[in-house]
Parts: sequence; C-alpha cells; structure tokens
Amino acid sequence: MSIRDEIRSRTQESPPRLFFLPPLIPALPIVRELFVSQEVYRVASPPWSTADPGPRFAQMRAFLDIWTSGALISVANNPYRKGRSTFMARIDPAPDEVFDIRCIAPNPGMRVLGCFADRDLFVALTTAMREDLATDKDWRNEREACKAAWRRLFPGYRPFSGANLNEYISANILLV
Amino acid sequence: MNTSQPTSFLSNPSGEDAVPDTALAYFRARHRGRVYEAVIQEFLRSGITQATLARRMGKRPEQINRLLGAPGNWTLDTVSDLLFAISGAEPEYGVRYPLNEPLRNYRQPDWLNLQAAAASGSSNGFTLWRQSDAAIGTGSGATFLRTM
Repeated sequence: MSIRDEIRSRTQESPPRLFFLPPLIPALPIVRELFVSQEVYRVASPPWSTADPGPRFAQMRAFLDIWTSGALISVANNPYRKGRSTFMARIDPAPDEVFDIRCIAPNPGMRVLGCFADRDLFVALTTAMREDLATDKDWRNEREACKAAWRRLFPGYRPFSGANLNEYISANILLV
Repeated sequence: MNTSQPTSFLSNPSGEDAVPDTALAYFRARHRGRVYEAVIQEFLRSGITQATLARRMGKRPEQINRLLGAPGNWTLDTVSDLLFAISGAEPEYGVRYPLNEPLRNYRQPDWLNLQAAAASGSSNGFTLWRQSDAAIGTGSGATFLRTM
C-alpha cells in the first residue's frame, strides 16, 4: 500500500483518525494538501469561543488555509536560522522530518507540528501553545509526541524525506 | 468519509449582529498573508537584491532579511516603504467578497475517493498544482531570497 492508501484508510475509519481539511472559504482553491489528526481537527474546526484561545484557533486555521490554498509561504530548512515569523520551519533534528507551521500572531501564537507524507502533502499531527514551548525539553517532548502520532497512524512508514525543500513543496515558497 | 466541516462560522455580517472575534481573527491572518505575498512578489519581480533594498531604505542588510522573512510586525507604513523602495510601487486597493464567490468544485483530492481511485487503476492520480493558481515563476516554483 502507498502512503496515500494509508491516509485514505485513516480518513475512512470510524471514527476517522485523519481528516482532510479544505479551506474554510469555499471559494479558495486547494493547491496543497493538508490532512490533520483528531487533535488538530478539534482545534482547527469552528465554532470557537470568542474568549482565548478561540481567536488563536481561528488564526491558526487561517494559517492552515494559507498552506492549502497555495499562497506564498516562507519556509526555513535550518531550525536555528529563520526569521521570527517564518511560516514553516524544520524542527531539530532534521532527520526526524518534523516541521511546524508557525502561527505567530496574535502573540504568543501557536505551533502546528507534522510531517510530509509526500510533496505538497502535509499531515498535521499535534498543536502546542507557544507559551508551552519555553524550554528545549518542551520542544523535545512536542517533537516526540508528533513522531509518536505519525507512528501510530502509519506504522512502518517513514515521513517523506527530500534532498531540499523544493522536493517537499513544489511552488510558491520563499526559502529563508 | 470525513473531509469537510461546518463553515457557518464564516458568514457575511448582517443587521446589527456583532461579528465574532474569531471571524475577525481569521480574516486578519488571511489579510497579512495576502499583503506579504504582494510585497514579496514585487521584490522578486524587481530583481534587486536584499543588499540593494537595504541601502535604499537606509537599513542594515540583516534588518531587511528579517523584514522580508515574514509579515509579523509589518504596519501600513512598512508596506508602503517596502513597495516604494523596491520599485517605486504603491499598493492598489480594492475589495472582494470571498464568501460570495462561487464554491470550487474541487474540494478534496481525487485520490481520496475510493471509487475514482479504483476506476483509474491508481491511488496516485491527484493534481498537485493548478497553474491558474500559481503566483510566482516557473520551473521548480521555489524562490530563494537573494542574499548579499
């Protein structure tokens, strides 16, 4: 079975363990693909409370829709050399193939961690409030949670790995 | 198959009803992304380097590098400064009504549909990139920020 067969199976389970997440605005195109775990689906789906963290979840969803609709995004391959508000960045260590979508506003923002299953196909697995990622240990725990979520969903499959970021995302990216 | 979700939270304002903060938050983030794309595309079209832009704006190169990295701290003045310094450009404003625009037929990858996948004899038959939605360049589609 291919990784897409596996993804399709996870979306067809009852209850599903993966969800395809199209943009909230129905007129937006679907250019890149995004599947989300139950954990991400819960916080990425409206309605949200008007009190915190509701607006943070809404902004997070806008970031996810920016990914899906194919808008220009900045991406950093080096976990330690990136602009403060780079859209997507690889998490250290690189061989783990974990990336995060960095929802930087409103401060302190959120992080959505996941792995690529193929080019332009991102699987978002965990979320974390930025204030909960204060130390290296916090980051390590979050990264390991993400990797564990991948293993539970796709036993026997490694996340997609490419020689450079062009192999992860086909178009409309700014490499920073 | 679960591939969709309720979208009613995003609806056009009506009457005296307060617009939910969450809807405002969603569109703020979307707006930032759109402004960012407009500025970066102009920078890329211009062909100038970050070093040149830094000199034009009287800033240090690393400041320009951070500025172009993402729109986190951009203000209206930042956008104006960047566009003019890049190419003598200014933003052109207009409005649109995304919630009134027609629904796209393509709402999920074809390969998610088991019957379609079986009929095509492949589970890999999806379209990644529709050229009409492409915004920058050709070839690999990726673009490097010009370094000093």
